[in-house]
Amino acid sequence: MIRSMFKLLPLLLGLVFIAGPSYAGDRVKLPELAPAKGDKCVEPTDVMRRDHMEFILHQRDETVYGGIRTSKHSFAECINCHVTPRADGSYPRVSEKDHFCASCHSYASVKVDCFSCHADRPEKAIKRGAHGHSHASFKNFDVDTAQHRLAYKDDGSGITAQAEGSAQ
Amino acid sequence: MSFLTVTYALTFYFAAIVFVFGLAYRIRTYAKSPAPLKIPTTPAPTTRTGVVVRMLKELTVFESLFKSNKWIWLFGILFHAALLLAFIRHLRYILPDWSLLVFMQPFGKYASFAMVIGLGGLLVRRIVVDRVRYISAPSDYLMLVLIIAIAASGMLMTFVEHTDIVALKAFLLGLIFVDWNPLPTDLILLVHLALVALLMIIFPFSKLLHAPGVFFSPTRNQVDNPREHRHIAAWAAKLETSGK
Repeated sequence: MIRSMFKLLPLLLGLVFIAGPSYAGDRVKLPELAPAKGDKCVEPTDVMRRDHMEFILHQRDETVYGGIRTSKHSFAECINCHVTPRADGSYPRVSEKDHFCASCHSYASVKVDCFSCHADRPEKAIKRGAHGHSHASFKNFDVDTAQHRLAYKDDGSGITAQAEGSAQ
Repeated sequence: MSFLTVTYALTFYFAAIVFVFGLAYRIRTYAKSPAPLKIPTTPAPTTRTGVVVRMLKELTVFESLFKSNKWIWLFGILFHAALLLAFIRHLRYILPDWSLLVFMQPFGKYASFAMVIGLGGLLVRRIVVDRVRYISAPSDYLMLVLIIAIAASGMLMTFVEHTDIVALKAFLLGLIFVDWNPLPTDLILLVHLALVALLMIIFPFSKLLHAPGVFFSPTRNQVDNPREHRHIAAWAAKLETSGK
C-alpha cells in the first residue's frame, strides 16, 4: 500500500510542474486596490503593504501621548489620498469591499478598528452641516469627528486643545 | 518564482501527500483490524445511540481521561480546545471573508497562550513525574516540543514580528489552486511553516494517530449487549458457515 503510494508521488509532482505554469496568474484572486490620488505614497509601497499599521499606531502615540501632530503619517491624509470616488461620484464606505482599506482587510479577515472613531472618507467628501446639529446622532459620528477634529499644540505650559472645525 | 517559494511549495505538496495517504492507510488498517471480543469498558451503553453519546463525550470532553487523571485531563483539554480555536483562526488563510471567521479571530489569538500552557504542563509532567519519565520515549518529547515550537513561532508572528498575511494567503491559495504566488521571506514564518510541514509528515507515523484511532477503540465503540446478541467476528462467522 505505502509502496504503491510512493510510486504515485513522481506522477503527482509531475502534474504540479506541468499544471503550475500553464495556469499561473489567473486562478488565485488577489485583493484589488482602488487607485490613489497621488502618484506615490509617503513610504515605499511594499513597506506600506506590510507595515502601514505600525506607522499609523506610532503616529497615534506621538499625537495622543506626545502632542506632536505631523502630516506625513497622518491618518486623515491616508484617507484623503486613498479613498477615491467611484464612477458615480459616491465614496465607498469601509463596510464595502471596494473601499481601499477593506479590499485587503476583508481578504485576510482582519478587522479594522480605526473607523469606529475616524472618518472612512476624505474630509471634503463629508457634507458638512448636511446633518445639521447632529452631535447626538451616533450614526453620523464621523461627521462630528471631522468637524471637531482637535489640534493639540504644546505651548510649554501643557497641552491645550482647540477645535478646528468650529472656527469655520 | 524564487527558490524559496518553489522549495516550500514542493515541501507542502509532499507533506500533504504523506499526510493524506498515510492517514488513509492507517485508518484502513484500523478499520480492518479484527475485534474478536466483546470488550466495552463497563459501565457501557446498551444501545447504539448510547454508544454515539459516549463517543461524543469522549471526543468533546475526554470523559475517560477525566475519570483517570485530572492533571493530564486539565492540560490535555486546555491544549486541544486551544488547538481548535487556533485552527479556526487559521481558516482565514484559505476561506473567503466571512463575518463569523472575523469574529473568531481574537479567540484563536489568545488561545495560543492556553495552548502553550497545556503543552508545557504535559512536558513538565513527562520530565518531573519519575514513573512517567521512565516510560517516556524520545517521540513523546518530540511531539510536545514540536507543537510548542509551532505555537511559539506563531505567537511571535502575532504579537512581536508580524509577516505579510495578504501575501501569505496568496501563497497558500496558490498551493491549492496550483497558481503559485511568492512566499513572504520572514524567518519566523519560514520556521513556522517548516515545522508544520514536519508535523504533517510525521503525523501518520506518530502517537498523534490517537485522533482517528479513538473512533476504532473497541472498549469505547462497542455496545454492551453480549447476552442479547452473540458477538462474532466476520472471519469467525465465515469459518462457522463453512463447517470447519
